[in-house]
Amino acid sequence: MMDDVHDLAALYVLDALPQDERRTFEGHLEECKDCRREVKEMQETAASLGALERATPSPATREQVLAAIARTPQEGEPPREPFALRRRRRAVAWLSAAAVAAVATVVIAVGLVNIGDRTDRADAIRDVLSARDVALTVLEGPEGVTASFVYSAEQGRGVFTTEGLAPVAASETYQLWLIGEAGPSPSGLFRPADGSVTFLVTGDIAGSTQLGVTLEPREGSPRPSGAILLMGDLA
Amino acid sequence: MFSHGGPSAGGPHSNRGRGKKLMYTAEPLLGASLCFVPALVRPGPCAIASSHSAGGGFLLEELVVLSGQGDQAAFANLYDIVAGRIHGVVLRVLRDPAQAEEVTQEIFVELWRRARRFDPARGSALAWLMTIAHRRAVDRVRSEQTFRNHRSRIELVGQPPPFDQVSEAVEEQWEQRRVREALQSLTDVQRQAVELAYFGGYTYREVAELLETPLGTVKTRIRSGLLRMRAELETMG
Repeated sequence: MMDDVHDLAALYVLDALPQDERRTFEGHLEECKDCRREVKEMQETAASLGALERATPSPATREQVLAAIARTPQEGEPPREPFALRRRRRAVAWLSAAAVAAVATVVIAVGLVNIGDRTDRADAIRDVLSARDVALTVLEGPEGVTASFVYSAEQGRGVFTTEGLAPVAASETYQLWLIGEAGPSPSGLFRPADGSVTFLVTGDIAGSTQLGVTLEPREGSPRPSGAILLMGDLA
Repeated sequence: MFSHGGPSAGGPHSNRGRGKKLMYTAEPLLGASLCFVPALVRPGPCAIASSHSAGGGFLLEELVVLSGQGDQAAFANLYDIVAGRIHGVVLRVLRDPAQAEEVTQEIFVELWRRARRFDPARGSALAWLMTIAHRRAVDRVRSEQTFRNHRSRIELVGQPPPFDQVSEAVEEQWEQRRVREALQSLTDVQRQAVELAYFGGYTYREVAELLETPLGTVKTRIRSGLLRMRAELETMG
């Protein structure tokens, strides 16, 4: 009986293949894109089986793990162009685009909705998170500030979260920018009361390559005038 | 650039803790979605893994990538989030608690070693973690016994997992319920085959022996069972 090697993905993923068959299948995987894709999908399913069991390891295990990693070297190279996670620093070339011929001068907080209403917030966030093309970018910024943007280019929406930004004076605001070929577009203002902010941003995300945050006068600006505080790449 | 150091310092951002409480009251169906920013700093009630491959699992991606850059605090955070799940599987496969602790340790050290190679394009961080963990557990259990006492293992594997292990966190319960429901959509023989393979750590040949069923049948059941689970989980969202 000739077994079809392509049917082995499920067995492989559950580690139900004996050693020799596993090796053979791994050899096959190197040459078969379809099987690689099936394995990738099945691995997600198999991983969820793990949800059925929970057992807390002893505190000693935790200690030993953390002690061990402190003296364990890491191997390999990170993948090039990791999908949806980019932490490379980029030259801030877009500021020079700001000096180019003027566009609209009215500052509009485009689609910036402070997620205060719980129903809207839950639905909007859930929509973004369940988008097929959902991606995450972590913005780089000063010490003590964390900021991330989870977005869907298809939906043209994303959830921007930040924590640790210092509160602003009454005469100032933070401003968010979606940066594309035409340079930075105003994408909303926010003034965090306690340093942590979560809000929904809508705009032309698909056409943008970066997301940035600057400090601006209270009413916002048509073009960034303040220091760039946070910057992240968009896929 | 980000401060990921262990316990949060006081100083200019000492209001962070308060901010976290205000912002992240539990939204049951959103899982970890809103909680990833404070979780980057230290583990807290929001630091819960989600098995969603799109969207819900991004917290783990971030922590794995950071770990790959040598960030031990991020790795500690990662440990706190997934250790329960990994150890749960390890314990069920190995049975012996002392060995299970050893294997869990080894798994995490391996995850640390390999974190730099993690490629988010190749799949979710959760899949990456669980694949490594499960493989290691199975390799250990197979190396320990060339032929195990099958009968007692079948009885144990057939039982539902003990509820004393279940976390009280709403999100975790929801995820468990979701996976259990998906598992329920399989036929009895499919479910049995999948469980024996995954939680019993058996090869399909051993499963066939245990169940006294032809090899081809077992392979088909495992495959169609897993495919069915995947379809159910995708439908549920």
